[in-house]
Amino acid sequence: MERRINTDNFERFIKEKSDEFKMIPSRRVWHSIYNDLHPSRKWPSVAVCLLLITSVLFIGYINNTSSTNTAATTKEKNNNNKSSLLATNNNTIDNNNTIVNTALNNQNTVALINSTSTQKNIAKPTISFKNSNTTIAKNKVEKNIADEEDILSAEKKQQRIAANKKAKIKITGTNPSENAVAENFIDVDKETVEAVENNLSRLSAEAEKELSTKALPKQNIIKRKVVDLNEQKAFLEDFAMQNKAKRKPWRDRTSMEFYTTPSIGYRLMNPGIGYESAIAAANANPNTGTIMNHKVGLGLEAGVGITYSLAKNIRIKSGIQINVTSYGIKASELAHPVITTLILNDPSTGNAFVSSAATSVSNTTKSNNPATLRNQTYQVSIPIGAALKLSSNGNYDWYIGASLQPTFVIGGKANIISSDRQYYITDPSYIRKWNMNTAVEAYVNYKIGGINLQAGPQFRYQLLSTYTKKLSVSEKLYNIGFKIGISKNL
Amino acid sequence: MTEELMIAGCLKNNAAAQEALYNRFSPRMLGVCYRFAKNREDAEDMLQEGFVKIFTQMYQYRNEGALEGWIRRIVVHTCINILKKNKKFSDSVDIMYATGLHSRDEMIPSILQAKQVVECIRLLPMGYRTVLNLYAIEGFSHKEISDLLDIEESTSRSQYTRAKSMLEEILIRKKIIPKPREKSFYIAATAPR
Repeated sequence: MERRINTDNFERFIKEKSDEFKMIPSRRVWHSIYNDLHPSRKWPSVAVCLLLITSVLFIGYINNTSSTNTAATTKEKNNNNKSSLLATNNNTIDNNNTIVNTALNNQNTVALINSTSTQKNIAKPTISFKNSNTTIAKNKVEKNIADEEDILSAEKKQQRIAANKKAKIKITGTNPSENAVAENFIDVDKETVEAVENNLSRLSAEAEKELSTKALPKQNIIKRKVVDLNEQKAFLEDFAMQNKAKRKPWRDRTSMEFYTTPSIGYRLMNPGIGYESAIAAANANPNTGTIMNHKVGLGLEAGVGITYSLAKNIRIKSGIQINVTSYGIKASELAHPVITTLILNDPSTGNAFVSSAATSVSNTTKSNNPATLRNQTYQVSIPIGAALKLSSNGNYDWYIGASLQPTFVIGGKANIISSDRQYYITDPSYIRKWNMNTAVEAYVNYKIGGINLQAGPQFRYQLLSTYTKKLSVSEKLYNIGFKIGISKNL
Repeated sequence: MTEELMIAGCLKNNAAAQEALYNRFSPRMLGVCYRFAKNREDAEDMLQEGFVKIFTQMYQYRNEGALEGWIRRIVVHTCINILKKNKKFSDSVDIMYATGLHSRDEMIPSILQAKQVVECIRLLPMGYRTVLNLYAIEGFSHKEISDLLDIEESTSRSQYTRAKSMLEEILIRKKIIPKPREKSFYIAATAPR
């Protein structure tokens, strides 16, 4: 029984103590209950979110606006500061002081104008050194100082005074043009002018009072000015970093390429108009049994170019390249010069005629002195062309292209067959200086990393004769090569 | 705000009335939830679910008893439902657990006696604790408990007996209550103040 009583008391004790127990729930519980009970009344949270977003956007907009204004004024400031720095580069620290104050004053003035006037005024932040020197003159009064904090305080006030002075100067102007601007400025914001004047007098009094009681050690001033200059520099670097010129679209479309095309070359040779009749008239019939023994020669093309993507599948390109063309001639060198003939064109009438020429090369390989001659040209061209992308597969693009190449022939070797085809007359003066070439090509473009590798066959054909119009024989060169190139976006 | 106004407001789904009712009863109801729950976070989840039920079923309250009792019943049922969902109450009793309570002495804060008692209850295994809460504190009969927890009535009785003796042992060990021979303690402790 005793135990039972004890047990009942124990249960009562537990119950009472448990009922006494309370805990304060977190606010989250009520918010959750509220949202469960009033699902359509979540506007307070929505409103708060909207307010927050609006605030963030507004702050962002304000920041961007001020950055833009700073950008507009910094260029002007840089010019002014640059000239100031150049002018005083070798001067004393006092002059540096002037530079710093000028720069700071300049900033303040521009900022003031910017906040109250138009962009027109921003473009004319003219601050004279004379005024800045006035400020510095006050600094020079001080010699010794107690602590750095006082310096900072005094300096700040000085700068504010200087800024206000500049504002005043700007408003009143010193010449007719400035006055015109100033009048306009005053019309815009007269209250600002009054505020500036009031501030100026008040701050001047405060600063002079402070500065008259404390002397600034020159060493500290120097140190501070160096720090200020570094801050200016850091600001400009940061500004430059943050305001990098945007990458222009055309650069994305443009790439530079280097290429080389080893090739084999040959020629197409035709007698000119009146060639046969001229030979007949001169009784210099060719020896039809003699065959010109020509063979292909090696050529090379190398160049640098710019390609621009006009559309997704079309590129245009241009550049500069050099070409070496050649083909071989099997011949026999004679021991002594031989007089032979060439068929030339009369430049006035255009008629062909026979002209005599001396040669020491025979068109035969049966002699005792067989030789291999080379007709060569060295050319510089400006190819202007286009390429069309035929297909694309992953990193591979297939292109065909063509170009027209105005060409200047720097020099070369010319062995011209005689009218009777018995000899070669060696005379490079017959080589045409200006020519025109064309080329067609097909290549595969392989994109790897940031570069493009190109490879494919190329056919190059010379549109005009290698020789001048003076020579009746026409010779056109062509080359078949394999182009290898590399290109990279700018 | 009087209870009548709160009830009337809650019936109209008035947020102010609901908040007033919540503020009045939530601390005590969280205490109830805390005795059933594994931790405070779980207790708050139980409280939240319980109060949502209270507000949505307010029309069922017929003014036939104390509002607090009605609220408490809903909260307790909510706790049990949550425990049943998580099968927490069916944890088996491990005698080693009881003997290992020494290592958990430091978990009991030495603040108010009520909190000490509740913390000691929370040291019990979940099955014991649930039965003890329902029988000794919430006033359920073993029959009701067996229906509520889907267990045998005899199981409820045996679990309660073991829970009580285990709790007593803990309380004695923690010196919250004296040893049984000091008979006058319960009388003194439960005497009206």
